[in-house]
Amino acid sequence: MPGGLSRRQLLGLLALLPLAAGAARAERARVLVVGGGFGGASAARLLKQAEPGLRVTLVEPKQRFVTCPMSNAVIAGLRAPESIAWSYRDLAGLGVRHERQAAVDIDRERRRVRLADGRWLDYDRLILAPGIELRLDAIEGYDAAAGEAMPHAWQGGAQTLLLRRRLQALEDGALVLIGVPGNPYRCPPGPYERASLIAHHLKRHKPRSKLLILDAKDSFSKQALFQQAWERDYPGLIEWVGRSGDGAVVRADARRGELECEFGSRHRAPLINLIPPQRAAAIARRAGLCDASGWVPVQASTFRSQADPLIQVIGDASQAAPMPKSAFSAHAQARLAVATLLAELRGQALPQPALSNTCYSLLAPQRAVSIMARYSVDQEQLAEAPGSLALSALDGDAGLRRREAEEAEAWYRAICHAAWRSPA
Amino acid sequence: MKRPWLLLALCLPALAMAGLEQERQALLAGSRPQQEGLEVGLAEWVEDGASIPIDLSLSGARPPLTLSLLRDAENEPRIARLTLRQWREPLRLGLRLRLPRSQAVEVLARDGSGRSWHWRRGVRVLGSSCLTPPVGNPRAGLGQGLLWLREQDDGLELASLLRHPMETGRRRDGAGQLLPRHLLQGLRIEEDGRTLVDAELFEGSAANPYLRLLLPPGSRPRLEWREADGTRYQP
Repeated sequence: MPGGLSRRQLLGLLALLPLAAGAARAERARVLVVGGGFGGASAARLLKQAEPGLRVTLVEPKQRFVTCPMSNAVIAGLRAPESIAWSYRDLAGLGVRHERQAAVDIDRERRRVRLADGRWLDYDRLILAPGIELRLDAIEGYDAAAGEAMPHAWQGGAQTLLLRRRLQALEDGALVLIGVPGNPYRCPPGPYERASLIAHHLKRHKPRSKLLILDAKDSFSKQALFQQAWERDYPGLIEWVGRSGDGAVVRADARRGELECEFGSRHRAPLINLIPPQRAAAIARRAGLCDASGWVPVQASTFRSQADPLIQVIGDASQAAPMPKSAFSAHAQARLAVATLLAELRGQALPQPALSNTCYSLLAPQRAVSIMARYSVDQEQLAEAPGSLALSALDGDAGLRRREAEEAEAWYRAICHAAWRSPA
Repeated sequence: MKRPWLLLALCLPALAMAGLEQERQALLAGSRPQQEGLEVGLAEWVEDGASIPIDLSLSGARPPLTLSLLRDAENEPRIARLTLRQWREPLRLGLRLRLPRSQAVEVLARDGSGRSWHWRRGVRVLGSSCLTPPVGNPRAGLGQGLLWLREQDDGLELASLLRHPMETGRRRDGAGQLLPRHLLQGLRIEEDGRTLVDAELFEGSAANPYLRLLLPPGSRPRLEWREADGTRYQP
């Protein structure tokens, strides 16, 4: 760091020094967790389970959390909306204080977080898991109103239901358009799982309809598996246009229901699901934790923000590539962040990072594929552990795809239980 | 020697540096480069090094302008070399790079009055799909070109893209076979028989080569890509 450590950074580092009585300090520490998604809810649970005396507050305005995993099945009408909603009840039962407010700002100097109602909460340690914000400056003409007319459904809740209703109401023969951003974004295989399940809905209920994917990339996650399934299960129904075929959306006209791409191609459709480019949620940016990319650089072995050692940033907001921005990654990062934080408070050696990701994607109701990998940290850089990447076999038969669909359901329940446990 | 490959591996970076230095000296021709006037937009880190956008802006340069993009950790340091004879001031140019791993990228420029510019930045490459076997046929759509001309307030925006694998000869297919080297030689932008831009592309240029440039208002550019074997493609 040029010019050495600033006074503030030095104070921050001093604060990391454990006190003599580690356990006592851990009991007295006030830990604030901002964001009640997979990362934040898992972190709050792990903290309280490991150290029941710790004062843990979860700052999250929602009463119930609707997940993005499995939301594509809800959109396609294959799953009830209630089946992907989770409650903070069980966390509260553990002794986690649920502050039902949005956190809006961080005063890093005075170690406190401002809530939407104007109150401030003090912290000794902060775990920030605020998720993503949709960028309103990346696609010309795309704003909050366009987000209603061309639902993104990339944050769970009202948007999920909006896209579900719009799909149900679609007339047979009408075109569905999905606009996909460039990397990095939340859930890399998500748009293609969505395309598969929407295609399944169209095949059954709107056999004359077609689906067009406009993509800002020339390749995508699990591409061979998805494209094979599309050819086999939905022949002629799904068309994918990558960047080199003029698939990068640059303008949106919500009134006309039209998207325009980099090289001037225009596409109109009665149902447009435009997934815009994203960045870390606003609170991270306002606190000065993001770099020019809009994401938060972290120390890979601890997930401490590079700008502030008292703040650990986990989940989609953090810059953890090659780990994908996924629910499972957020959970794995929560485990590492919590283990680090507790070791620090107790004056113990910091844990060895053990990070991994597993993602299932549905191709149809009874068919799924998966990807898994482990990650190691070398000189504060995350890297995929050699030989750890496992992708479903391309020549897998129907039995394997069905087994993976069952595993997908178990995987979903496991990651939700690790975070919330109680259904809404 | 027991491990000749080890020596080779140790020498390769040095060779790359030598190639870079050679390119640098050839372009600068003894002039002292400046930084003022040259602005470069390039990410400090990327998730995928296979296609990295770079945007240049240069003010105060006189034609003809020679511009060279280089990288410092590959056998072939060259990314692209362009000669520009006409543009809308300040020069605004966009290209896409291919970096298989973390390294520094340099931009060098020398203009008609002998002034030169130099810019350098390290880019962290967290992964690069240019090293993994392609999904599908990388030659699909070969030669299909896209051209986009749009009158802006201050000039004519030209954006172009050609479907082309820009295969380096270093990548393997799914069966483990090396894919044969197949690079585009370059592209030319002309107006009424006059060459406005001549670009040579090398291994460091991303597959599906992209170029964006602002030309003076009212320009009527024609664009042509050419292969080493003489094949030409038009949008």
